[in-house]
Amino acid sequence: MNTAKMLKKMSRSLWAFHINAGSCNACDIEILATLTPRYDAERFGIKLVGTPRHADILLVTGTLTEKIRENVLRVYHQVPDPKLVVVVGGCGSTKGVFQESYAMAGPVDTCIPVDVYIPGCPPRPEAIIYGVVKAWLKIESLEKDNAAAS
Amino acid sequence: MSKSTSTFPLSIGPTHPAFKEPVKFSFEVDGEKIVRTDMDFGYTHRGIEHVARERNFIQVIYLLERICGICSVSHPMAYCLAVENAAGIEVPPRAKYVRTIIGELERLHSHLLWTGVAAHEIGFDTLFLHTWDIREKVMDCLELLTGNRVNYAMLTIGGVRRDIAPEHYGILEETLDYYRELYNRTREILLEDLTVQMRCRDIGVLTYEDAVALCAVGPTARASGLPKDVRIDYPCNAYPDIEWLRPASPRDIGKEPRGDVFDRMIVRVLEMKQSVEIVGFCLDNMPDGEIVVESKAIKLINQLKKVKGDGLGRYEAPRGEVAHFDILDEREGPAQIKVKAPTYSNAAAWAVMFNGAEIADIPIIAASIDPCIACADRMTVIKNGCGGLSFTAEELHRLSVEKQKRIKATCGNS
Amino acid sequence: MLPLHDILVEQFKSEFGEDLLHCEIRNRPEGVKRPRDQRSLWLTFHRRHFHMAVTFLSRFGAPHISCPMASREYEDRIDLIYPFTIYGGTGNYMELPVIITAQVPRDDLRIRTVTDIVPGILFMERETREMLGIDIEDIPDERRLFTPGNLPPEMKPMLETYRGAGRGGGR
Repeated sequence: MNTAKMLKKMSRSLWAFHINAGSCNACDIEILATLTPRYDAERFGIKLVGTPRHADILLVTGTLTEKIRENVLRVYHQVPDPKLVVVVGGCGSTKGVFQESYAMAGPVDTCIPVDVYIPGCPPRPEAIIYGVVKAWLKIESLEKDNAAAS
Repeated sequence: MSKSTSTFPLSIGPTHPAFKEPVKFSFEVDGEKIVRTDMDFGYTHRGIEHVARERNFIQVIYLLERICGICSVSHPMAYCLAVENAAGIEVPPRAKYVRTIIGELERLHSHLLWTGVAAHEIGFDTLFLHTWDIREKVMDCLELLTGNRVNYAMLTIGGVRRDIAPEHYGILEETLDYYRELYNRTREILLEDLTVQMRCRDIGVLTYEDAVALCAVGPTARASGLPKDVRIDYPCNAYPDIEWLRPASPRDIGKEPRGDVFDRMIVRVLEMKQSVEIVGFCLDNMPDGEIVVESKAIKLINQLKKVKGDGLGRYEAPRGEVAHFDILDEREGPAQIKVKAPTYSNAAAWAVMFNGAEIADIPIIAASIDPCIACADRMTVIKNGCGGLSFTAEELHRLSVEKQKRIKATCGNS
Repeated sequence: MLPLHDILVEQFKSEFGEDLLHCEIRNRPEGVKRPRDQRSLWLTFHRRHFHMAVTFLSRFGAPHISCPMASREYEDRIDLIYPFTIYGGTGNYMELPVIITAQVPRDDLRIRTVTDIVPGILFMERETREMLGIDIEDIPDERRLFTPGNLPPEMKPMLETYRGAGRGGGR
């Protein structure tokens, strides 16, 4: 698939799959809160799906523990191309407060390529929406670059 | 597989979003019935107890806050109680009341969260969105008081870090009135709706005897008729002052406890009302005075550095008893911390609850002890250990919704 | 009539005599307007009497295990601290934590399981096995509980030797 075709496929609504890679659940409940009436992310076409095979975006929360690493990799490969990875929360970006732990394999970008980091412990729902929008913008800029190049 | 060809293994997980211990379930299934359950823990094991030995007393509070994003008051609370017990620090009365208020608001938001998740698991998504919508009100309240929606950084050893300002009282009262008004409506939907009852009655039963033997805690134990509640059994903070506080039980609404999923729902619904009333009590009886014994962290650490001893701190989190055992050994930080989250106790009860249940009931039973968010993860069915069909959380959820529809069809008018 | 905690102490003393190495009642009142006494009972046994002590405790009521076992290390022994509680769920501020310390000699790190008396303790015993390397005799389930498979089997994270072992992580 060429890049232009690939990008065209993603310019519509983004479906996200959420994987918990050793999170404390704070980010997870905020992701869920993002979907509920107050923040209502679905009005932007952002939707949480139940299987990686339907997803465009992989939302990863948590520090990436040793035991879950394999599973995160597997899920990453199950998401069909083209895909974006968004790390939600400080732990996934930098290991956060769990720096010295023996059970950590993270941060997430040591295992899978990451496109957007959303800092915060946990990030507010607005920040999560903003992060997904950033991912969108990344696609748009890639699109422009691609158009300019061809 | 030699003795019986009718059973096959069904494994679910391991990317199961529970808090301290996400579980990989391995079921032994006979048709639709579950015969045996096994669990594998540790996928989000972050070695917090190990890390905590290298931090000082104050840093540890914020580390422990991140054990669980939903119990982010309970864990620091138990830790602070344990250190205070070991070092003999007296907490000022006002701080005790502020702690109680924050703790109860957390319980309220956690129970609303659970209700939503449980509703989603039985295919009642309208209720899920409704409860999460009304939950935002208490989240706003917590944000107003503490500065953050989750992970409040409110507690410290010997008190709290922020006071409840005079202008907050009105907003808190208003929030309480909002929930008092909504309570009857919500109760009606949850406890009187026939479909909810048919879906949750006699599912995932934990008998009184099993609850005692397996050391179940919190709403799970109370629903089995074991009135265990640290707020009453071994109270801290402002709880000893509240005379009318009793462990919630299905008996309160005239039903004998059966220990099923529905009883757990009753207990949580009653506790939401309790929480609102406790916050109301604390606001009415709020003592004046200091909110912290020693506000300078360095001074506090130096004081704790001289202590040698150990302490047990227990607190009733929304999901049950949180216990911390801290050993102080003349260091800058605790020499050792042992943590028990409520799901640690209740997980053992899962094995009993699942036995005899149907596959379609797995989501609601797993959610019924409130292990946190719904299992939104990939699952695999392996037939006789040789590959086989794979099936997702969505499909499992679909199975659950289908069962709901079947039940609806059989019970006619509702 | 003596209060319950005193009865318990008397009973333990008469049953175990010299074998009860240490016995202490701590009290810390809680509450503002109606302060309540909150007592806890601290007992110490050698590991060979530990199982008997828990059996004896279970005569007064079903023991509930509150927290996984903490440990305190000495040159010749490791103390395992079991925070039990009894009389829980009776209402009316009756619950009494009974914290039993079992001394395990360093040259022979073994202790008998109490899952036969308190089935709910199984996970905590499994955790003790992997975190401290103390062998639990007759434990019904010998698997690891939390630690990842790539952790070297000789590394027992909660031992003093491994304090700070994970340091140097980060980016």
